[in-house]
Amino acid sequence: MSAAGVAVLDVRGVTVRFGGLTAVAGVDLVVRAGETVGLIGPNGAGKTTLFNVITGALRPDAGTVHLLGQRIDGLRPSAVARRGLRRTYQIVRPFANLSVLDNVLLGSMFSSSAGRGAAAPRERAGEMLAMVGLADKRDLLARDLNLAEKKKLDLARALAADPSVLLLDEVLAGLNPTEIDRSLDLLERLHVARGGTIVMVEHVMRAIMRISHRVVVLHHGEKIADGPPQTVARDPRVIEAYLGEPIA
Amino acid sequence: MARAGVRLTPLVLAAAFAGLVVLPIVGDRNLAGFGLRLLELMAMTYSLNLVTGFLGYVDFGHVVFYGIGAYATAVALAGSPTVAVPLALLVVPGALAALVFGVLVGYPILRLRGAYFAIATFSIDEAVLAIVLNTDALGGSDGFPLARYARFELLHVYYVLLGFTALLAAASYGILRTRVGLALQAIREDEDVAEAQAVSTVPYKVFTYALAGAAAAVVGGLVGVAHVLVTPEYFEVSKGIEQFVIMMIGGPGTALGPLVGSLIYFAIKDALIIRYPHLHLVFFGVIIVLIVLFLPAGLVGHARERSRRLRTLLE
Repeated sequence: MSAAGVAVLDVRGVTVRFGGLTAVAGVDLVVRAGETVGLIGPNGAGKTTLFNVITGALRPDAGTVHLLGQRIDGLRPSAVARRGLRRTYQIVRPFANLSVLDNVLLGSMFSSSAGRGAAAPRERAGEMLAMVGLADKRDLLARDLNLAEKKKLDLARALAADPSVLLLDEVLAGLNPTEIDRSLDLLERLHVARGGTIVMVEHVMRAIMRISHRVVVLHHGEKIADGPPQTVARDPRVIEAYLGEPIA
Repeated sequence: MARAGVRLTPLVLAAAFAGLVVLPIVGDRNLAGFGLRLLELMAMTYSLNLVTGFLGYVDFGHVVFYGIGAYATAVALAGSPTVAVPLALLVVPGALAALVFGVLVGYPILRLRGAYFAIATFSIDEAVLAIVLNTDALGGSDGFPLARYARFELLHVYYVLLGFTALLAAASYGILRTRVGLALQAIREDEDVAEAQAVSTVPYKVFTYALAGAAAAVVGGLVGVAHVLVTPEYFEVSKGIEQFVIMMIGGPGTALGPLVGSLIYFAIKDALIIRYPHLHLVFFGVIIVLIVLFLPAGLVGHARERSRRLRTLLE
């Protein structure tokens, strides 16, 4: 079903208003199977708001969202997640008082693909922990991990569910260059290589340039650029959005 | 190290309940009354623990289910034919009533979070109490006497309640490591993240609340039968506070906590009442403050937090 080129995620004309502020204004975003799309833009551009619409946390004031051909706007987040979408958070949100293993186990037990038997999710959770390098910390409480480890845990929990679409909200922020490279390798091996699709909000441009097939730029809630990373990086409108207009 | 080795929790639970089985046999027969009170606190704490310890919803009005169960069982007993209906069957209508009430009330109020939910549960208990007080058919403020209907031996009620409490403890332990148990704990930790991880939080919350309510209703029904009188006092919020204290002492969200908590609470309370009949509540208040300050996770919870090894042993 996920033949290359099929639109996995189809966002059409999505608008979100908070009182008088239009956070997202008529944004279209089409993501094809197996694609990795970088979503960038200055602070307040509407990136996280758009994520919240896609995951079902926010209901858009206008527009539609389709996931794998099914309309998902207006559905509860759990219903959207069951259709194969997972996210990570800008500020990590592990289940603090659960063990590291239980955190990931929740991901694999509520996976949309795996069966509901007890053995398979456990194996998968253990596998994920080993992959992200948290195997020896499985019995620790999640709150006792450091930030880099919590980020890995967030990612492992999402990947354990074997999602077809992964939304990553600044999953690399706060990591050092070595950790960034390791995380990107992990994403490529565990998700992209298996045909998974990624939309990532990221400020680490090096990472965006390395992993994205395409970059979408939001500014003041509007989409101002959409194309290959190199082209977008040279787009005068994008440079203006980040740096301001040149003085006459 | 044997990770999948000894599990201490089921052993402790089994030993404790075995002790409670022999208590009225080896000891004074009057111990059944004493034990009934202990079991009532323990079972109610197990029930509250499902909602507050596992799910993380602070329920100050959990006694509403206890009261509903007591009255429903009283009505069932009064309306049942003279042929002896088994006690275990007599509490079923109360459990069903509480289940339906729990779903109807739980669905709207479980949208509230934190203090707002706690206040809502409190108000609902007060509202049901007001209805009972003003319903003549239920005896109003005089209550509903059961003495003229079939009597059950205290010891008989004790053993039925003992079996039911053991069932609640076993269920609390059994659910912890399952998909459902994990979902409940995830909701407690961060409901929005749980929802985003494909956990359908609404049905999990509503059914946990309603099922815990049904369990509390069974306890209320059995206690009513044992006391041969059901009064509006069954809805008193102070009962709920007592269960809260026990849960805090033992450890919310654990399978051993309600057992440990109720045993300790019982011992301390008795010792204090005998020594300081007028001041015992003051001392008790101090103990509660100390626990909240220094052992917020309760005794079992604290032990689990302190050591990785204990975490695999105690649950």
